[in-house]
Amino acid sequence: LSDSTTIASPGSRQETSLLPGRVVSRIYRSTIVRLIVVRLLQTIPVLFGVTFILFTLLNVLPGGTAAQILGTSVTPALLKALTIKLGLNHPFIIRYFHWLRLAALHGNLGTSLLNGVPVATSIGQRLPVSAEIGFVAFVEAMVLAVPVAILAARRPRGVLDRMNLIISMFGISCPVFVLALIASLVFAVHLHWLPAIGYIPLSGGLWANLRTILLPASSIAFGLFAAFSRILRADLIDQMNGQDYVITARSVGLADWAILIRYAFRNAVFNLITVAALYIGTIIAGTVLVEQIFGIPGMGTLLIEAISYRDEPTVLGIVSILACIVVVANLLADLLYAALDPRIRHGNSRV
Amino acid sequence: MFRVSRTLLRIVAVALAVLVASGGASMASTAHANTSTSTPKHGGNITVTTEAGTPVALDPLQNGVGGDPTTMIYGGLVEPGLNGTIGWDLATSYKVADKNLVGELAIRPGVKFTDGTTLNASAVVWNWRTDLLPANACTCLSNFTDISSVSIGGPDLVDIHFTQPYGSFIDALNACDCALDWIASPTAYASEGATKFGQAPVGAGPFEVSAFVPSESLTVVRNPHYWDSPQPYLNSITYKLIGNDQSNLSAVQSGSSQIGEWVSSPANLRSVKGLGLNLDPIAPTGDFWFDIDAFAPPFNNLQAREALQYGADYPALLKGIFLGLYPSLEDLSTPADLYYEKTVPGYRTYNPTAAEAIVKSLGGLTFAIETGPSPADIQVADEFQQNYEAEGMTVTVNVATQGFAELSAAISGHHYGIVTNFGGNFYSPPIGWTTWTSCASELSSFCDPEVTTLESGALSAVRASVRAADIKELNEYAIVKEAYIQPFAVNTSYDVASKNMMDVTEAGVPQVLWQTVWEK
Repeated sequence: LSDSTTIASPGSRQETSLLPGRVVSRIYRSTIVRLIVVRLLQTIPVLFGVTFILFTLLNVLPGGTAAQILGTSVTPALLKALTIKLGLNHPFIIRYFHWLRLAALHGNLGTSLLNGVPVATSIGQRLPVSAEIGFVAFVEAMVLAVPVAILAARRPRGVLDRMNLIISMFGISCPVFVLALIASLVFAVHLHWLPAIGYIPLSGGLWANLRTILLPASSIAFGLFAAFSRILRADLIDQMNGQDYVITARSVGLADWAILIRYAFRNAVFNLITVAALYIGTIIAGTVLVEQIFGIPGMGTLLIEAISYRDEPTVLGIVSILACIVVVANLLADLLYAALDPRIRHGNSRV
Repeated sequence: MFRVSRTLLRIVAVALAVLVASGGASMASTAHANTSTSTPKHGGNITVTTEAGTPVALDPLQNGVGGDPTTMIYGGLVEPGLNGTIGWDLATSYKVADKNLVGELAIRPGVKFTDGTTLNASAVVWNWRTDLLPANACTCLSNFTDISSVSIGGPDLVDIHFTQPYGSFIDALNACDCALDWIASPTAYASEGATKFGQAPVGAGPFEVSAFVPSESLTVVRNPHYWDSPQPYLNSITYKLIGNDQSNLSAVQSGSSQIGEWVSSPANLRSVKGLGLNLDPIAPTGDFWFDIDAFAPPFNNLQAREALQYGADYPALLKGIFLGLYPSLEDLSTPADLYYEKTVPGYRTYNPTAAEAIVKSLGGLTFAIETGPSPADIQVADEFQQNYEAEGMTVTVNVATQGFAELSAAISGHHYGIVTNFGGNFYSPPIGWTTWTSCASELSSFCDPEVTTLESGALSAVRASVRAADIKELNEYAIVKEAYIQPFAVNTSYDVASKNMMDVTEAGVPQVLWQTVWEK
């Protein structure tokens, strides 16, 4: 109800004239709201499935948390004592549902088995760092990919198109960690332009912050740029070559540049939006890798350490957050679709 | 089209030439010496990148603690000295009394924790009583099961009561990278609680904590009241986790860090000097060896175990895989250990003819090699496999992708033929050996009362000459006479790369002594 009163703002005469109950009903009938509700409801089984499978895998792996912590100091008596101390002597299904109850009902992600620090605190410290790198990588890739794709599509098989093809093939085929190591060697070791490791937060100054994230973000962005530019280029060429509206526009005297940017781009961008949303997982994986290479205190290093020690609450907490990010990213892609496509916005197309 | 391709090729060629030229220029720079007779000077804020992992907590009793950060904050009662000898730090001497059933450890008088409280016998006893509580599951328990209690013998004297004579106690404490060696301030612990203390600990080491992000980075600043003034020399050290050798070396080369720790791959170790960096060697205290499952066929037969020892070409393996950086080894201790023996009489060297003859007489030999997941582990196992197959054995290699936990499960469940193994902290034998050789240990690949007797004798012996004789006999019995276990290489597990830093390591000492490091 509070949402409905917010949406029915005083400036909207039509909405304020409705009763609150009818407003709610009308909003619910709206395709976009239905989309949001459905997507958010879908998050529940996704989170349950992901966390349960992960928890099972962590428990199936040989070793176990206590054995991993003890390492070569392991003795049966010590293993038993530490297992009890950590509360790992209870059956894994009970431990899982205990975690789930805390997380779902109280929003409490538990405490780390390794140091007793609340998982939410650790994630809160590190998520902004990883999010910044992922965001900058995404923006870098998009900002470069769109103009390059338009230029390449303007003259297919031209010089720019061929250069883009070569660079993109390299970007798509080169693993992020290789690219990151090369970038570090070139720009940090040989040219001394940027630091090889470390992270300075935004509070330490914008330029100082950018210097530390430019290499890691660009290492991820290069592969994304390659994929995005090739996909958009192909769609733009498809639009320009075969669509009736392009022939019509040309017949009324519009220049190809104008058609490309004003009309074809809008129609070609749908594929890019879908792919971009799907690439969120790639960005997360890339972030985990580059954090290791550039010594950045993000979620990746926390996740790797938690997995190696089977620190269940930390692994589940991080993965839940990452799953939510992927779901929200897909939701945003759908909303963008709706904003660009009137058929979806007005409910004429299934979502 | 051809014109375009040529243009592109030219651009790519020019770019590559620029890259190669800049790389070559850097590679050509010369290495610097890392030790000098100059006087150390105060100052410097350095970054250390490490591949060993940074701690998740800094309370000695919490999990995942250990290594350099702990030494920076707590120092140690004793610290490993030259070739396994004892380096006195917060303790100053040790003697035994009452028919070797009581040990008396003298604590350095006048030392203060960084919170201003006194580090005395009372503080040590409080720490040890907490550490030794079985419910606290301290990893230190495994080598100190003979302690029945600890008590205050005087303001600066701790009495340790043993259930039976434990002559190796002080050597075990020296070797222990564990809670018993790190003394926390009881006052700070009581006021902060375990979790908070783990993030902001108080010790009496050369440095104190300034900032800590678990598993990620630790910044420590100079303790101005450190007992061994004028040390430490550095103003601050930021200790950061890095993912791999290449990133580690790049960080030092570019000046983002001044010391790169745990550079471990032989190829990268060899490249350090060519990159214009110092290579500071850490005295290795670990071995490579293989355990042979003598509990079950085929290796419950001495001849089959002998065939294994004859069958592997260790010199070729050391040269090929470890690039000559890992010296060969015949006993279970290393040159940096007490009681090290360069040669063990009767040690079986590579003899394919003898191996082949034994295999023929046994009618064949089929088994599995279990190995760890590191490239070096896998290479070693593959090399063994090729050697053994050339001598008529049938061998499979199983890689334990989960590392030590999986290997230990295979050993305790006897799902193996041999295991290529490595370990450390063997300085002051036979402490730590019992994990691999005692009948009571699940990780032992054999059970022989004679070995247990020799080990117990060596562990309880107060006189060094008696212990040395026991260890010599033990080596000859377990490695040669019964062929239960086969050491073959010193595990040069890691070294340190540095730039413009002095006195980072000392020959024969198995760790960096951070209080002595200074910036040139």
